[in-house]
Amino acid sequence: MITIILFLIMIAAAVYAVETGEFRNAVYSLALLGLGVSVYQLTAGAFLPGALQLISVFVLIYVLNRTLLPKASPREFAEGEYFSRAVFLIFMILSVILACGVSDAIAPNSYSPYLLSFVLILTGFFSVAFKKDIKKIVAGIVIIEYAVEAFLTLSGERQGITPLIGILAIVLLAVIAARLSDRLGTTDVTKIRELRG
Amino acid sequence: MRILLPLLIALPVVWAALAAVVYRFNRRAADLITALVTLITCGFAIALYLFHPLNYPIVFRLFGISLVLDGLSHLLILTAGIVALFVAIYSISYMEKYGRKDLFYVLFMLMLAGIYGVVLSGDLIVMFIFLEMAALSAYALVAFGLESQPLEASFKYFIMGEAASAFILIAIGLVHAAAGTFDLAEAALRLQMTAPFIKAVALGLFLTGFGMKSALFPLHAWLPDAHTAAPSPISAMLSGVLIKALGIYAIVRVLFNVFGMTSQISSILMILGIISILVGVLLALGQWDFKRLLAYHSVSQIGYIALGVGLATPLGIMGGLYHLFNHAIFKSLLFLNAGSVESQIGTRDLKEMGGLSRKMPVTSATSLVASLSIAGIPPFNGFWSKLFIILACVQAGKIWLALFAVIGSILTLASFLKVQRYAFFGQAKETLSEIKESPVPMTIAMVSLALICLAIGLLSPFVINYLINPAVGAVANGVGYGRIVLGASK
Repeated sequence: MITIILFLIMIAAAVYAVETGEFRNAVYSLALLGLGVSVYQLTAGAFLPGALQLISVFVLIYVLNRTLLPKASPREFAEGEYFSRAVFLIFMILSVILACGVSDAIAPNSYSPYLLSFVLILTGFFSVAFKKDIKKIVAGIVIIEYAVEAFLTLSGERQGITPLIGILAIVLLAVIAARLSDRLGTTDVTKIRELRG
Repeated sequence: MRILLPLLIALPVVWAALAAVVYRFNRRAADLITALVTLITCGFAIALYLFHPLNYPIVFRLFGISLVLDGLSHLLILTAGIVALFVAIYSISYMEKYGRKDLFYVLFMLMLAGIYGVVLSGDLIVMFIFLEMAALSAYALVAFGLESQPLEASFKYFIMGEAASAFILIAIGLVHAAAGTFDLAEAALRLQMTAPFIKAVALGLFLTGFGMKSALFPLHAWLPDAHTAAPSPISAMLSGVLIKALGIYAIVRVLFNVFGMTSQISSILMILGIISILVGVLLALGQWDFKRLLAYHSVSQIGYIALGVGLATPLGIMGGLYHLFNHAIFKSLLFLNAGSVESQIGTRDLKEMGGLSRKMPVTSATSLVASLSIAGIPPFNGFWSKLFIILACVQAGKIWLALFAVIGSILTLASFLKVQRYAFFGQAKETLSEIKESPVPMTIAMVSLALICLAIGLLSPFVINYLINPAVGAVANGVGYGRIVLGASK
């Protein structure tokens, strides 16, 4: 039951980080998500990943505050994106159905944590796939990294150093994203020539 | 011999830690030591071929980490060793214009160590850690120019690469949940008793993740930008080695040796392969940016490898793995040629070139060798591997696949005739009258790779017997890999 509540808090934090218009709030929501993953890992007996995850949260706050927080987002990003949300909703429903099958095969009669971790992962993918703000895309990658860590612990992993790899990736991504928005003078990915495909 | 396995990874890591310091005191020494480290690792790969019988694997275990060398990983190590050696020599002159060569050497060495680590890992989590090490270095190297185009390309590559890594890590989690282990050999044995649904989902995730890393169609969107924007030696490493070690090798290892190949997966690989061949070459035909054209050809040539391997017959696997080796050599040479031209005339636009064969004879001659190789013209190396893939299609009764593979090869020839016509032959531009050949280290690298292209073609039976067949044997063992590796580690 505690695990489920923890996962629900993490999902709420992830969704808020994706949807809030204020990036400062997004950073602290992501930190809350990271802390949730760390607490889950420590309570599940994954002490090394849990400790590394805890450290990674402080690194995350520092790096995002230094790199991406000072970059202003265009005003139109605050407006609604109904189509993308509808597509995401359909995608999420299909994935949850798939996740039910996976959960059933791994641990019969105990769907919930697996389902919730899938929802968390999908929230990250939604942000990466549909958000136009570089900062939200970086936030999406952070959510995916954290969600996959939680999933890995759920699947029985107890000794890995994957959180360390995850935070290294986030630091590098944040630096590249900050440099890119400096060069282009915007955080709008639609203004980036190469990203048009 | 088994001590060479950790040394292959440790040597580049140690030099990565020292390179920046040494570079500060003596730049020339740092250049030479980097080349020396790649030479030593390449020498290790050759020594392992000479002194170890390849019909059984070598297993090295330390602190719970297992490194496994069999015919397949051996082929990849040799490929990475050869390409890295000539890239290091080429970079001595080429990277001068970028500055921060110390940082370049650090990242290059970490990428090389990551590649060796991925190929040697006998454990999924360790493989993932090395995969991320190589990938993170590659993202930074693509952005090395720090102009807007490299930064954009790196950002795009990063996002797609991390999404791929997430897919792979979820699949690893599923394998652990189902088999209770991350060890590839143990997982190969235990997964046979797992629910088919879990296996199917994990397989799908692995295929998507590694498919993105190998830039198979339709997961190739990051590749043209990343390969175009990166410094040319890095484009050579990305196209020649990285997409194969992190993509194709991992797909083959996981599909054949851990899960076991099925007819459905075989069909998916063949279809993705043939679409990649045609889409890649058609997109390449329309390009005027030299490096972008080469990048789309990477998508196409990876398609040939996927088609050969996807056939899952001994001849098909042989053709696919032989093409993997050949493509690494001729494509890295082509990127080095493009870098040589760009560094001398300052553009990658084919329309602004012309008559370079008289001004840059070494670059021109070596690019002709590489162009003939990639187009599958005898006696160059690309001819044999493409021939085996096409014959394997015919042997398997897939005539239409053979036909599309031939069409892809003809279009490849057309594309490279265009490159030769616009860049090296044709009317010399007045603006290019003062152009000179590239510096000696760059020409040494290009000539060496061109000679290897020719040698592999002429010595094809020897190459197949000593390099390719052991790799085919390792793949053909299928899930018997688990039993063989566990037996070898006792």
